[in-house]
Amino acid sequence: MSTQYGLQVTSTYTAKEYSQVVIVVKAGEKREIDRAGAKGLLAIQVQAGAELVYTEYVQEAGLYHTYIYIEGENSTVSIVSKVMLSTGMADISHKVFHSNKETVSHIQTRGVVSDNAEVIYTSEIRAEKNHTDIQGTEKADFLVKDNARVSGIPALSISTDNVVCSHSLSIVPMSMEKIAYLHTKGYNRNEAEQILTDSFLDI
Amino acid sequence: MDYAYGLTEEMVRDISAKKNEPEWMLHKRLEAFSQYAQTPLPKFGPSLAGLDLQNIVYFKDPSVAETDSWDEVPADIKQVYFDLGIPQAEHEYLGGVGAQYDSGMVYHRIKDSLAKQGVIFENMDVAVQKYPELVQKYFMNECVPASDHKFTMLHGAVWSGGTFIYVPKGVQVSMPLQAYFRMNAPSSGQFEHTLIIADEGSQISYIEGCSAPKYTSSSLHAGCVEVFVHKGAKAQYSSIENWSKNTYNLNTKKALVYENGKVEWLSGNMGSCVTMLYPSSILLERGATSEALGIVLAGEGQIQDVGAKVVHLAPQTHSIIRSKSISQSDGTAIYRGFVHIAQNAEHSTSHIECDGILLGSTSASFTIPVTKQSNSTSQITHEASTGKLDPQAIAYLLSRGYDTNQATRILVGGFVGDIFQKLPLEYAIELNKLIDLEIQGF
Repeated sequence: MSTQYGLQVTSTYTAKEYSQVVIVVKAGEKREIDRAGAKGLLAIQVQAGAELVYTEYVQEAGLYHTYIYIEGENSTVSIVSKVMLSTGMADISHKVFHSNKETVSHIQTRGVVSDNAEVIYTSEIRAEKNHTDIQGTEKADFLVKDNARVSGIPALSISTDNVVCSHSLSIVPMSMEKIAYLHTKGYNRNEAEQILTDSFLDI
Repeated sequence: MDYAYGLTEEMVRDISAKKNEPEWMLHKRLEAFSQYAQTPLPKFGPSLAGLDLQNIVYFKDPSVAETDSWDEVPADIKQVYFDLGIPQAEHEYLGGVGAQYDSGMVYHRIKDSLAKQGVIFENMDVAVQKYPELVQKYFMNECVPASDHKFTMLHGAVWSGGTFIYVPKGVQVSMPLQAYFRMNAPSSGQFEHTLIIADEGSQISYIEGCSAPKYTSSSLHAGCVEVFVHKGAKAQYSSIENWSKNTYNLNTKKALVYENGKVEWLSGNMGSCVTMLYPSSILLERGATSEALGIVLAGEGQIQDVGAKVVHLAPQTHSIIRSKSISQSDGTAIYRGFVHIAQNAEHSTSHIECDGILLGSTSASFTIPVTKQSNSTSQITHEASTGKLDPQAIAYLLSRGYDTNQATRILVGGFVGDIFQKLPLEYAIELNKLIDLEIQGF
């Protein structure tokens, strides 16, 4: 079996493999990959003309790093990450390396962090030199409650001029106004928070 | 008096002796030198491999006594400041001016009306002699201790000149005070120290300008700015740094902000080969606020590693960071920020915006905002974008008769325009001209 980026290469993915593998999304292929709760480092190589939709739902403490290498031109990557953590620490990282022209990536992360939980969130969109027509967006939003803590580093590393890249990050408390509104509709505090959490994570 | 290249303990003692400093200041210098000698270069940020610390002249006295009359400044030095337009600005809209040439201040003057209200605006060397209690209390203790990092240690050992400002309780200084720092000698270092104390309910606006001609060997600027904003006070610190493009600009600026105080950092950085500069605010008491606005231009061969830091340590503290960068040719602009809302900083807010424009296919822009939120009643929001100028906007301007170069300059002017609005008019014009000159011929 071959290796790449120092990791073992595979074209398939199951949660059992959960770490230290590279999944190859072949040229022209459309793939959906769900991390299925597996922990560890996951690397994905995307070849020319391929489309990847990657999803994850983090509900336990642990390390969840995902590195996506867009090596083929005219390919698209979408990352959808949900986080619901009430205990322990989750270390979540999304990095997308644009190594070819006409490539697109979107990262969207939403998390609700409560009690004594802690989330460390890092992300990076990297556009390498001499590659043109690159688009990258990353958006991360966290709701925090109780004694929860969130640290974030959403980075952009752009070494070419023909790009449109942006990122945003918000770490905000759950809206008391919305909870009060739901109280007026007959929901108690727990029900109101659950409704707001569910709607927030509905992406 | 000049020194040879490199730095020794004997030189540090000599600098202190020449300035006739009290024992406590010599002790501070020696302690800083000892730490400096044992501390390696920083492990983050751009390479400092081209900076030969053994090939720097750490103290160069202009051999001119400080005066409060331009007529008494030697003609060759005076011409430098006239060319920069400093005396005219002093006459038209400034409350006071200081001018430093290499390691020594050559001119210092404050308007009589401000002096009568008890405002102190002095050369830092003079302040050590005239106001020892104030200086000993505030100088490199709580705000920027020499032990902060390698270059504050160096600064603590060899600092010379700079500005001391004290604004008494309730006094509002309506006209800005300004200091201009000129590093004229080749292979030299400039280590001016700025200490601003805005007492309760006072208000002060201070502007610094910096420049140096270009020589074949590298120069080093490692200044230090300490700002104390007491209860209900407001301090605005503006700087336009246009060092020559072989200067390493490794500057440190920090403010301590007390109850309901406000500090504003306005920065324009366009010179130097490498800049590492992150104005920092420590919000110590309830209601303290900080606003940092920065414009950076990274041209050919330049790495501008700049940003801002804010630590929220009390409830209802608020901060805003806005940074705009322009990268052209093979220049690299880096935004490096840090915001921490501590556990007891309830109901605090921080908003960070950083936008970068890339004008060349080999230019680069990096955004590294570190945020740490440890109180769930507070909020941090951050947004950033990087890209080239909008081709549709350029096409529109071309259709109106502008050429590509003019269209680029108009759009860059618009990109940084909202930060210009915060600067005093004369400085906004100067900064606009500098940016315009830098991107001409793009």
